[in-house]
Amino acid sequence: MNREKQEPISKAKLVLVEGMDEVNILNSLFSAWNIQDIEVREAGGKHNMRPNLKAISINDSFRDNVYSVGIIRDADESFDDTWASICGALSDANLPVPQEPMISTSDTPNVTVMILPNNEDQGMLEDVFAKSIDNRLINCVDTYYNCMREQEAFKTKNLAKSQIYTYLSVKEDPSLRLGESAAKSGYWGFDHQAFSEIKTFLESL
Amino acid sequence: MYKSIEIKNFRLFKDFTIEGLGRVNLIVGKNNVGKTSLLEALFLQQGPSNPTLELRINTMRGLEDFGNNPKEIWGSLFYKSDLQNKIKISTIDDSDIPRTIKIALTTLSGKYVTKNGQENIQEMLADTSSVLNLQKEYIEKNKKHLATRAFPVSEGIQFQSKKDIHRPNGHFIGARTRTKHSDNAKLFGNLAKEKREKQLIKYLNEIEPNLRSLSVLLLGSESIIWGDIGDEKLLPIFALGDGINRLLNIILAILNSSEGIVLIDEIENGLYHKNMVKVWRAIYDIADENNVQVFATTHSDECVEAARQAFEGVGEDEFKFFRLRRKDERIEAVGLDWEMLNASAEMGLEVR
Repeated sequence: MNREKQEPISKAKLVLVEGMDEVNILNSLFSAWNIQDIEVREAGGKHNMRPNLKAISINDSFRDNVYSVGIIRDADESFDDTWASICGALSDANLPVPQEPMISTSDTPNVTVMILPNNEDQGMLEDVFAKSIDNRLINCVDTYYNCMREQEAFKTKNLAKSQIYTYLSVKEDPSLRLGESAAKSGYWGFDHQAFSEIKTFLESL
Repeated sequence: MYKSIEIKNFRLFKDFTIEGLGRVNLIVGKNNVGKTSLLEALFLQQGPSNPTLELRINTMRGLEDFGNNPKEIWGSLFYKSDLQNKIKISTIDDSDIPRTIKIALTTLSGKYVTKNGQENIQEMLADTSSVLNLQKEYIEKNKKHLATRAFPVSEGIQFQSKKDIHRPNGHFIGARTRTKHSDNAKLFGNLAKEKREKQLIKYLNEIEPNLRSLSVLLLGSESIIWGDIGDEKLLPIFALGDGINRLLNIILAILNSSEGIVLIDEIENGLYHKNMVKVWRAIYDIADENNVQVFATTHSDECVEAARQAFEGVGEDEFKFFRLRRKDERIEAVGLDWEMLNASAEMGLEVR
């Protein structure tokens, strides 16, 4: 499917994330942390990052304007596989390949990679958000989960995602996706320690 | 079919190469990156024994009035108008045959042997102080021919050529210049003689379903094509709208360029964007059937998107997409494969 034509990339720092939900989240982080010099774009995950990076790398507005590129991806089941997939995609697109996460390449454009949740474990962005929920509230959520477990109705394979949506389901608007909720004030506390590595990453670009 | 072309010292190109050409080639890029110049280079290369092409590409760009100073007539062909360096246009085709033309403004000398015998050039000159002529050499498989010469004489420009170099046809359809009605009538006549006009009508029906037949008749003293769209009388083709005339130009050019090339500048001109998918399919079908290689430029996103839809699923050598861009002082061609073209569309990234 085709997206409407986007504006050309105009900022010197570019963050590439998996999908539109992540784009919204990053934009919320930018406004929470008063970051104005970074632009965020969707570049796909394990299935389409390779062609997408190639397309971005030959785009005029990218070649003319961008000197620092950050890539944020979920580790999902494996940090190693995700790292290998990103490095392969970068190399295919003739972009510099970093030695390790969080360390920029010296070749331009400077490329820096962050693999969520912590550049080490399996998991995803939702883990970071779940970690930021107040302990007292997580206890309430766990109590509910234990109750569901006793009824053999607890089937989730993604605890962090469940915790997030359980938490969100009793907010003023119970129907928001994570990306939409990130834009609402009072839903998430981006000063929480859980977000500090993402902040460090963005500041390093 | 050409696989690659190398251009030196021509128009905006100091040293330019484009490789991986296919059956239909779509070329995009900002203004002033050499899209039209690339078509012109291919046009010159295709007609090595035609001495008028170098002037024609200038008149197509609007140079109507020229004096008899060769530097003014042909200077703009040369990179930065520097006449010291020869223009060199080299191609390799799919049988790996190399062909080169070299064009230079050189001092006229001696006699030139034509089919009519020897002619003394000095006697023909407009001005004995202007002794420059535009000279074109053609080299095929390392065999060199002095192919053409052109120089101003008192009555205009004297063109001379060796007639024994045979190359398949090439047609150039300019962005703004209209093909003459009589030229189109002649091309149509070629088809009609072979009873191939039905093929043409089938494709024109894609954008004018009411068109039943075409015929060549006089209007005043000019031969032009007339169309039957079911009215009581035939209508001259120019009365049927820009779209059908543009498509007619394109299709006639392709049908009459078997084994050769057709060059179309700003292909979208005159064509309604919602018809572009059909137009591309028609171009591809006819080009494939007649073994013609097509080069087209566009400024239009819709036109690129239409090509992407029309060529979905054809073989990878059938449709190629290139973007010309400036990199420092030079111009480079960047090829986008299917995957990149699709990815750009999905991300909403501009590919022009």
